[in-house]
Amino acid sequence: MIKIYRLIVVLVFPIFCFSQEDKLLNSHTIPINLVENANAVVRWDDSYIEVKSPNKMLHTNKRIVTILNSSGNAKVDASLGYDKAVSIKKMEARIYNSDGKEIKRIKKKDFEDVSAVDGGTLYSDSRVKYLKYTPTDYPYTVVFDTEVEYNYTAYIRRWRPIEGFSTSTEYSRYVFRYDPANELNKYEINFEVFGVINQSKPGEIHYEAKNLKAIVYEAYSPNLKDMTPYAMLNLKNFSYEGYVGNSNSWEGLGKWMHEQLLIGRTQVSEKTKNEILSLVAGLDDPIDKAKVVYKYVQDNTRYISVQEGIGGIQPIDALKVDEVKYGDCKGLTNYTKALLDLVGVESYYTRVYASPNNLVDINEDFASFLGQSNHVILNLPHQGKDVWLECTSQTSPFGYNANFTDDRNVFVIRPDGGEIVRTKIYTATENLLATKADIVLTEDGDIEAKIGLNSYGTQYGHREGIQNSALKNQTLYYKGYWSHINNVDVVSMNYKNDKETIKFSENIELTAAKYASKTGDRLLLSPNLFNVLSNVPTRYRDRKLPFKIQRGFYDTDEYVISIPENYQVEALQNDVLIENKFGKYSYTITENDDHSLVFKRSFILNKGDYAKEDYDEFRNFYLKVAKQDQARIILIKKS
Amino acid sequence: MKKITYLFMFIAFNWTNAQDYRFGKVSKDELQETAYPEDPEANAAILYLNQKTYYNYVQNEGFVQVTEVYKRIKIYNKDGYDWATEEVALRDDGKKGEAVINLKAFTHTLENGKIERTKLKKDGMFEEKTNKYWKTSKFTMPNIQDGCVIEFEYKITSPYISIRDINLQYSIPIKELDMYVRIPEFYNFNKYVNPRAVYIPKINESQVNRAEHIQTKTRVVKKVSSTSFSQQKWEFKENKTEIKLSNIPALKNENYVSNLNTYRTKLIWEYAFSKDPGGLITNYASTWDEVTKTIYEDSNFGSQLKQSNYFEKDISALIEGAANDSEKISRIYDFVKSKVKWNDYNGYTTDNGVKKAYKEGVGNVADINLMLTAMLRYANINANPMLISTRSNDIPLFPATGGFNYVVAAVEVHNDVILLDATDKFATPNVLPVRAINWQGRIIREAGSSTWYDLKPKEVVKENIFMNAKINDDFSIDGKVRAQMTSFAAKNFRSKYQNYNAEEKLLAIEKDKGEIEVSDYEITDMDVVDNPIKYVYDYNLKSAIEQIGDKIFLSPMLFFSPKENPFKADKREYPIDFVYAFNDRFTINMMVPEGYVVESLPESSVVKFLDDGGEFKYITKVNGNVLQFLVTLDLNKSFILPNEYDDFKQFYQLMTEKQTEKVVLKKI
Repeated sequence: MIKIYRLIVVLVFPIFCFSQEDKLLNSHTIPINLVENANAVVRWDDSYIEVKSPNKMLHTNKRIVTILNSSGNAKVDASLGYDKAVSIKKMEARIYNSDGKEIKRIKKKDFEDVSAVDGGTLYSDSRVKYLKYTPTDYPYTVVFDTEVEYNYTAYIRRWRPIEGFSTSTEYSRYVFRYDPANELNKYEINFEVFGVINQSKPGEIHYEAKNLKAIVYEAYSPNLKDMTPYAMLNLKNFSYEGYVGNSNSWEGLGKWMHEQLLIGRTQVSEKTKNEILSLVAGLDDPIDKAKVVYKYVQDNTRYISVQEGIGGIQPIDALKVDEVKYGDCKGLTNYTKALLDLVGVESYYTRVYASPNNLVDINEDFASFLGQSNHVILNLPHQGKDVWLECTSQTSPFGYNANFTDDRNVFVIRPDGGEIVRTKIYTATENLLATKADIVLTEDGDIEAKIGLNSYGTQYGHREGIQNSALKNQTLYYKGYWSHINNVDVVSMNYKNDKETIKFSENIELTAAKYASKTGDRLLLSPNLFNVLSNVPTRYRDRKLPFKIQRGFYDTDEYVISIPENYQVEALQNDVLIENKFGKYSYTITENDDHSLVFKRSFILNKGDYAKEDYDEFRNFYLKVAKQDQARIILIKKS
Repeated sequence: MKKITYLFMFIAFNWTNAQDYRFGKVSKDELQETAYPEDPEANAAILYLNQKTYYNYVQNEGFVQVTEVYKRIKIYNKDGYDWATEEVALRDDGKKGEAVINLKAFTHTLENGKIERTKLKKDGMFEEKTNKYWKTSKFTMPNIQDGCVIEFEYKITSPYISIRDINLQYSIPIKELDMYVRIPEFYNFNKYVNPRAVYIPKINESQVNRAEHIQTKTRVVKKVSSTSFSQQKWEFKENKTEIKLSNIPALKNENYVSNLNTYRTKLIWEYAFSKDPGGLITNYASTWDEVTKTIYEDSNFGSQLKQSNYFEKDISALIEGAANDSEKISRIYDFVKSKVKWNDYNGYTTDNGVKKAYKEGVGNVADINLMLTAMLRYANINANPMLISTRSNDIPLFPATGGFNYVVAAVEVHNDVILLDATDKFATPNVLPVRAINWQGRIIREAGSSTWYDLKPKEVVKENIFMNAKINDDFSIDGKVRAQMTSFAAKNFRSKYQNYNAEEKLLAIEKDKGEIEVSDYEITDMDVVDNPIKYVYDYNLKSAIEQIGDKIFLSPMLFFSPKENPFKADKREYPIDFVYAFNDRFTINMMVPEGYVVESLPESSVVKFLDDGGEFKYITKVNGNVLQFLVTLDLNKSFILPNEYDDFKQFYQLMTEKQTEKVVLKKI
C-alpha cells in the first residue's frame, strides 16, 4: 500500500511541474504585486529565434497574456505582419476564462487579414493578420502561438520585456541562436536594475526577466523604452531581399548602402536638367543654389507614399520622380539630391527617426541596417555646419526642421562611409514668440487692441499654419487662443511669412467688451492680456518617474495700455522675478507719464532631464507663473 | 433687325462662355483660373462631374450594373493636392465582386502658355484587398502642380442589383454636375435625398423605352447536329432619374458636428422589389407592412425571435418569484447584459445567431437585443424589436430596411415605451448608448403593425452639486463637494471611471481645477447602474483667491466656473445636438472669513433662451456671515437649430459672464 502511495506521489509531482502552463492560464495565480497598477499581465513570453542560413531566420513565440480590464485589451497583441519576405508558418490563439477554462480557439485562417497601410500611405504590400476578440468577461487569458519565417537576417526582433505602461510581466525569455562565426552587435540597457538574467554565450543570446511590475504613465515621462530593459541585436553579416551586407559600423554600413541602394539613381531628364541649370545661372554660393533647388522641388513635387518590396528601403529613381512628380520621403530626398548634384552642391541622404513629440536617436554605438529610422531627410554640410532639408514638405522654409527631425542623432550616408550626426538643436531662446500690443481701455472696461506676434524656431512651426486655414477658422482660432477674454471680436488679421529669416508675423486687431470688470468707481483688469499660462502640470502625490522637457521656448510680451482720462492707478502689481533651473520668469508693470501703463513679461523654459524629486518644484514654478499671469490691477475714478 | 442683332449677340456671348465638358477638352481659361469664384477659399473644385448608372444586359448573365464616373477637377493650391488621388471602395467577398475598368486619366498643365497633357500610367494605379468584404482601387495622378486640371474616367461594374448612395456634394465645390440613373422596370427602388442636407437638389424623373436583342439558341439534331441562333427583340421600360446642378457649395466642417457626412447632400437608394418579365414580384421592402413582413420572414431576424428553447430553463429560473413585470424586465435585462458581450458590430439582423451568441457570450447588436426581446416575450412581457439607424448612418424616412443598422428592445406598457439596449453595460432602461439615439426608431410588432417612435430622451438629466467653502488665513480654501448625477450623466461617469484605480480617480477629479488637493474622494453606486452616481470629496484649493490691496476677489463657483463660452462662431450651418435635456444645479455655501466684510456680490439674475428653450438662474443670498449662491441651468431644448444659434450663443455668453463674476471682500 505504501508503495503504491509513493508511486502516486512520484507520478503526480512531475505532472504538476509539467502543467506550469495550466497555472498560467488561470488568472487567479497572478502574483499580487503584478496586478497592482496593471491593465494586463504578460504571464509568459518566450521567443526563440534561430538563424537557419544566411538568409533564413525562424522565430517561434509563445505568449500568454492575462487581460485584467478593458483598458488592457490592446495588450492581447495577437497580430503578425507579413509580406513577400515574411511568411507566417503557424498562428494560433486560444482564449481562457479566469479559471483557466478554454473558451475559444482561433486558427490561422480565422484571424482578420487586412492591408497594413497606415493613414499616410497610398499603397503598401505589407499585410497584417490580427485577432479580433470580444471579451465576455474579465480577466481573461490569451495564449498566442506563432512561428514566422523571415527570408532575411537584416532585422532581428527586439526584446522589450516591459511592453508598455500599466502592463506587468511575470516571465519573459528571449533566445537567439546564430552561427558564432558571424559576429553579433548588441545593445542592452537597464538589465541590472530590473534583474535581467543574461546567460548569453557565443552563438546564443539568452535573456530572462521575471516579475517586472507595471509602470504607470506620468506627464512629462521620458520614453518607456529608455527606462526599462531593452535589447537590440544585429548580425554583422546580414541579408535582405537579395542583398548581402555588413553592419560592423555605421561607417561601413553607410558605404555599403551608398553602393548598393543609392548609387546610380540620381539621373533626371534633360529638360529638368536644363531648367535647373538656367535657374541657378549666375549664382555662386552653394546655399543660394540649394535654395533655388529646394524651392523647385517644393513647387514641382508632392508627397505620395508607395511601399513595395525593396522600395520600402530603396528610393525610387530620380528619373521616375521627375516623370510623375511625386514620391515618398526617400524618393523626394534622392530627387533633391540629384538636382543638387547637378548644380555642384554636395548633399547626403540621411536616415532619421522623425517624431514631433519624442526625440528619438539613432543609436551611435549600435549600427543596424533596419529598425532605427522611419524617415529620410537631406544633409547639406556647409562651412562646418549642417543644413537639414525636409524634402516632403511643400511649404517648409529652407533648412527648417523643428518639431519633427530636430535635436537627434541621425545617420548620414556618404559615398566614403556613414556617420551619426546630431541635427540642429533649437535652443530655448531661438524658439521665441514675441508679442507686442497697444491697448486702449475705455471707461466701460472695453478694450481695443492692436497685437503683433512674431514667432521663430519651434514656435514658427506651431503658428504659421493658421494663415492657410479658412477665414472663419482663423477668427475662431484667435477667439480660442485668447479664450480667457470673453466677447472677443476679431476686427482684422494680417500675416507675413518670412521664409528667408524663418519668422512668422501676425498682426491682429480686436475688440472685447467688458474686459475690465467694473465695481463702483474701480476698474479691475489683468495687464497680461494676451499670454496667460493656463496648463499647469498634473499633480502627483507620489511621483515615480523622472521627467523630461523635450524642447525649450521663450516668450516675451510687451504691452502699452492707455487708460481712460478720468481714471488713475490705485494699485499695480509688484515686479516678479523667478529664476530656477527650469527657466526664468519676469513680470513688471509700470506707469508712464502719458497716462499709459507698460506691461512686460518674459518666460523661458529650458529643455532638460530631471529627477522625479524635482517634479514638485517644476510644478510650483508653473503654478506661480500661472497665478501671476492672471493677477489684476486696480484703476480708480479720479475724484 | 435690332432684335436679331441682340439675339445673335446673345448666342455668341453664350457660346464663348460655354465650357466644353467632353473628356480631354480642358480649356486654357480653366487652367489659368486661380480661385473658385463662388468660394475663393476652396483649395480645389470639381469643375465637372458626370456619373451614370445603368444596367447592361449580358447574354446568359442578365443585368449587370455599370457606373460610369467622369471627373474634371481643378487644383488651385497645395492643400488641394489630395484631390489628385482617387480611391474607390469595391465590394468583393472573394467569390464575386465589383471592379474598376477602363480607367483613363490625364493631368493638364500650362507650360509656357501651352496645354501639356500627362497620362496616368500603370505604376500610378493600385488595388488593395482591404479586408474580407472590401477591396480598394486607388490611383494618383502624375505631374500635379498648382493650377493644374485633372481628368479621369472609369467604370465600376457590379454583379449586385442594389445601387450605392450617390454623393451630390463634396468637401470642395462642384461647378457642374450631370448624373443619371437608369433602372430597368424589373427593379424597383425607393430613393430619397438625405433629409438633413442643407443643400437640396432638383430631381427629374422620366420613363424611357429600351430594347435588347436576345439570342436564343436552337439545337437541331438530324444527321449532323447543328445549333442555330436567332435574335429576338425584347422591349421594356426604364425609370430614369436625372440630376443636373450648377455651383454646388462645398460641405464644410463645423465645431460640435460629430459626423459631417450626416449633412451631405446625397441620393440614397433602397432596393424595394423586383418584378420579372412574367410579372412575378419578389419584395425586398416598400411599405411598412411589407418591411415588417420581410423582416419577420428574415431568417436572421424573425426566426431568431421565435427561438426560445436555448434559454427557457435559465429564464424560467431567473424570473421565478419576481413580484411584477418590472422586476422581470430588470432581471432579464441585467442577465443579458452580463451574459452576452457586444462585439462592436452593428446590424439589425443577427450575425452568429442568438443561440450561438448565448452559448459563446458574444454577439452583434441584433444577436443581443433580439435575444433580449425573445426572453422578455417568453416572460409574457409585451416586448418588440425597434429598428434604429445609428448616428453614423442615415435617417430612414421611407419604408425600407436598409436605412436601419441597429435594433433595441422596446417594451410597451400603458401607453409608454421602455427602451432597452443590452450591448452597453452602463445603459439602463431608456438610457441608450448615444450612438443609438438618432431621430426616430420603428417598433416592429409581432402582429405585423409598426410605428415610429421619437428617440429623443424624455427624461431630464440631472446633476446636483452641493459645495461648502471656508476661506483660510493664507487665502487657501477648504471645503467639501457632494454631487449626484442621473441617467446619461451617470452613464458617462461610469464609462469614464470604470478602469481607474484610486490614484487615477483622484487625478481625474482634480483635472482642470487649478491648484487643488482632493482627499476622501468616495463614489457611491458605481456598479449599481439603476441608481444615480453619488460622490463626495474634500478639497483644499490654493489658487482661487486674488488679493489686491485690502480686498480679496473670488468667484463663488470656484473651479466650477466655466473658463470660456464654448460657442464662439458667429454663425452656424448645422444644428447643435446635446442629445438630452439637462438640469445642472449648484448650491454653494461660503463663509466670510473673520476680519472681512462683503464689499460687493454678484447680483441675482435670470437669463432665458427662447421662451422655454432654457433658463439660467443665479441667486445670491446673505445669511449672517454665510453667503449662499444657487446657480441652475435648465436646458430643455437639446437640439439647437442654426436659426436659433444667435440667441443660444448670447444665452451662453451671459451665463458664462455671470458664472465668472466675483465676490469682493474687504478687510475691516
